[in-house]
Order: sequence, then structure tokens, then C-alpha cells
Amino acid sequence: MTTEELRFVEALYRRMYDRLMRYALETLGDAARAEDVIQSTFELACLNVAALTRHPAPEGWVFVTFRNLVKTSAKERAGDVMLLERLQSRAAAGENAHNDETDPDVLYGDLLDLPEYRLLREYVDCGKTVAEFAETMGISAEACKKRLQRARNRLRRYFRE
Amino acid sequence: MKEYYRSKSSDELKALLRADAEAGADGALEPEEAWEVLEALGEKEPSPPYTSADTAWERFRRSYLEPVERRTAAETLPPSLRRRPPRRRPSWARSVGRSNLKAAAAALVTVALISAASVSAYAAGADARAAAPWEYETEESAGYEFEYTSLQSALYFLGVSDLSAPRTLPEGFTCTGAQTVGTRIRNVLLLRCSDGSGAEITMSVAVSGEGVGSAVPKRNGALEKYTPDGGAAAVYLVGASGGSSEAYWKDGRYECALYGECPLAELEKMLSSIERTPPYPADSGR
Repeated sequence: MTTEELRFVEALYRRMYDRLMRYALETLGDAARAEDVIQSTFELACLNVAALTRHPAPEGWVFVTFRNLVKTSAKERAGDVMLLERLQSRAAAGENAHNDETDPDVLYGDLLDLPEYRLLREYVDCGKTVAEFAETMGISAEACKKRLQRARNRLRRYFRE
Repeated sequence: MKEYYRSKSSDELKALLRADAEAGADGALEPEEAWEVLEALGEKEPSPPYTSADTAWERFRRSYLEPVERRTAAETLPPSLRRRPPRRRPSWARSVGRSNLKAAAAALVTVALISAASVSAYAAGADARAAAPWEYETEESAGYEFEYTSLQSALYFLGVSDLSAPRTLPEGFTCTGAQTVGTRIRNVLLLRCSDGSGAEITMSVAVSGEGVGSAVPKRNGALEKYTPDGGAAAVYLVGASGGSSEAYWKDGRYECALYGECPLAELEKMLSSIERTPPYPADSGR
């Protein structure tokens, strides 16, 4: 990306940030997810910066992309919560009745040893953004998102088996 | 419209925004309308607290922008310094069943056709793999498993947002995974769709190298042109043999093939669902 393109993206980011954040806060109800969606939107803007600088309505492009990501994020969030709740309800239903343990961390210890699982749980529970997680772990936001997706896939497989 | 939105209560404005976020492309607000709703809402009720634009931009620059810059910069590195994908046989090549052989043959034809066209680019020192927006086979990208009802959504998930792809699949099919197949001159992305009974449809995508000709194969009489009803100017070449069908097309810098065990009419339906209006934000096909 050239210096000019970077300036273009930064100006667009700063100009639209408050409006996008308010929209995401009202629709997602979570400041961390709202910020994640804005960051992902501008990540795509950077990857398509050549086309975006020539686009007749770059703000419109950003908003349409952003709104689609809001939709995806809401579904993803609901899916994450459902996966973790299923784990809790298995414990509550006494499927492991051979002991009195109800803490899923203990019941599903093998699964919870996975760093990806812990990441997903923390991501859902602690209200941190992907970028905050990535910084803590010393990896890129993209790698962090992939780890979260792997965790989701592993949990889904776990429940299918 | 601004006055209209100003006359609404903050609860009504919030409900409008929520409905907009859930609406399909037809019922959604125009960006300007959404700004007016947000402006009216801002006048009535202060926003809940959130990270400032300065902090968020700084975080964006560190966690998102620098990796993007590194990815872009990799294209300018000499081939000898670039990351090489580990040599791994794709999963469809590991078992040698009849249907797998068909899929492998179709993939090989695609790779061979697009590879032949890019030999000149490779000879000139251009490594086409670096131009692909998806990653090579590394620990982080050794293949993906997911469930999408649209190839467009799957591509979007993989970071390919400038390519149009089918938004519908034949009944019972879902897009179940993707993997990259690194060849010496190509980095091909394979998106697999299956119906659970063993039938598979695959979309393969490669990036054209500079100066590379068309990926459309020159086969005498075996393929026909197909243009969807009401579709924009798009040229698909389609053909069928036995129970398998195939289609080839080019979209911007991408060369694509779609092939699998389904009637040609089903493949044409998929091609008709391609929306050729860039950019291609994700649909709600998950």
C-alpha cells in the first residue's frame, strides 16, 4: 500500500468511525465485537484499496461491507454462545453422572486443554477484541481469527461425535 | 428524510437500525439514510462509551495493517526468499476411488490449462503464488472446514472479496471446506461442496499471472458458451460428460473452474446465481 493509499484509508477510518461504532453498538450490543467488525471492514478496505480509491462512493462501499460483517458477527456470536452453553448443559443434564462434577473445565478437561478452546471461551466471556487477544498472544489479528475459527470447528466436531 | 427521522423516538430509531442489520439487500437502508438515522439518534441520546478513534486506529495499524503490509510486500520479494508451501498431497488424491480419480483428473486439467498459460510469467521471474489472497499450506492454513450454503460466502471467509462466485448450490449441497494446492507456478484454491452422500462439486480458483492468457480451455466442440438469463456480460464455457459437468470462466485476475457430479442444468443454475457487480461483500449464506 502506498503512503497516499494509507492516508486515504486512515482518513476514511477516522471520518466513519463514530458512525460505524454507534451502528454496531446498537445492533450488536457489545463494544468489543463492534470494534472487531470495524477493524475487519477496514482490513478488507486495505486489501481492496486500489479499487476503493477509484470507487465512486467509498463510504458506501465501506458501509455495505461493514453491514454484512455485522450480520456475520451477530450469527457468529450466537453460535459461540450456543457452543459454550451446550457444554454447560451437558454437565447440568448429568451425562457424566459417574461423578458430581459440574464444572465443564473439569468434565471436558481434554477438550479444554486446547488453547483454541480457552481462547474462544475468553473471547466470548471477557469482552476483549480480536486485536487485544492478538497483541497478548504476540500474533496477528488474522492468525487470531483463524485460531478462533479452528476452535469453533473442533467444538462442532466434538458435539457431532 | 432527516426531519422524518428526527420526529422518531430513540427507541424507534434503534429498532430501525436493528431491522436494517437483519435485512436482506432489498430491504436495507441506503448508506445516506443510515447516516441520517444515526445523526437523529445522536441528537436524542448520547452513545454508550466506546474506544476512541485514535486508540482503535492505532490498534488497527498494529494488528491488522502491518500483517497486510507484510503480505503485500511479499509479492516484491525474489522467489528464492519467499515462503515455500510444504509438499503435501491434497486429501482427494490420497484415496484412489473412481469418483476421486474423476475429481483429480478435472483438477489436473484445470491446473494444467492455467499453468500452461502462465509459463511465460514464471520464466520472467513472477511467482504467481505470491499474488493469491489466500495463504499457502502452512500450519495456519492447512485447510479449512466450514459449512456455507454459498461459495461466495466461503470465498469471503477466506479473504477473497474481489471475486464473484455462485451464491446457490444444488439442493442438499453445502460448501464444506477449502484447501490450497501449491504447484510450482500456481497456488490453486479448491472449495469443496458435498451433499453428504459422496457426490462432490469443486470450485478451483487460480490467480492469473501478468501476461497470462485465458484459462478457458481450447477444446474442439466439447464445451459450449453459456450466458445466464438477464445476466451481465459474462462468458462461461460449459460441458458435460457422463454424470459429470464442468464450467470455466475468468473474472478479473482470477481463473475459475467448477466441476462435479451433477447435471449440467444444476451447474448452469449455480452460474446464474453469480452477481457480477463489484465489490462482492459477503452474503448471508452461512
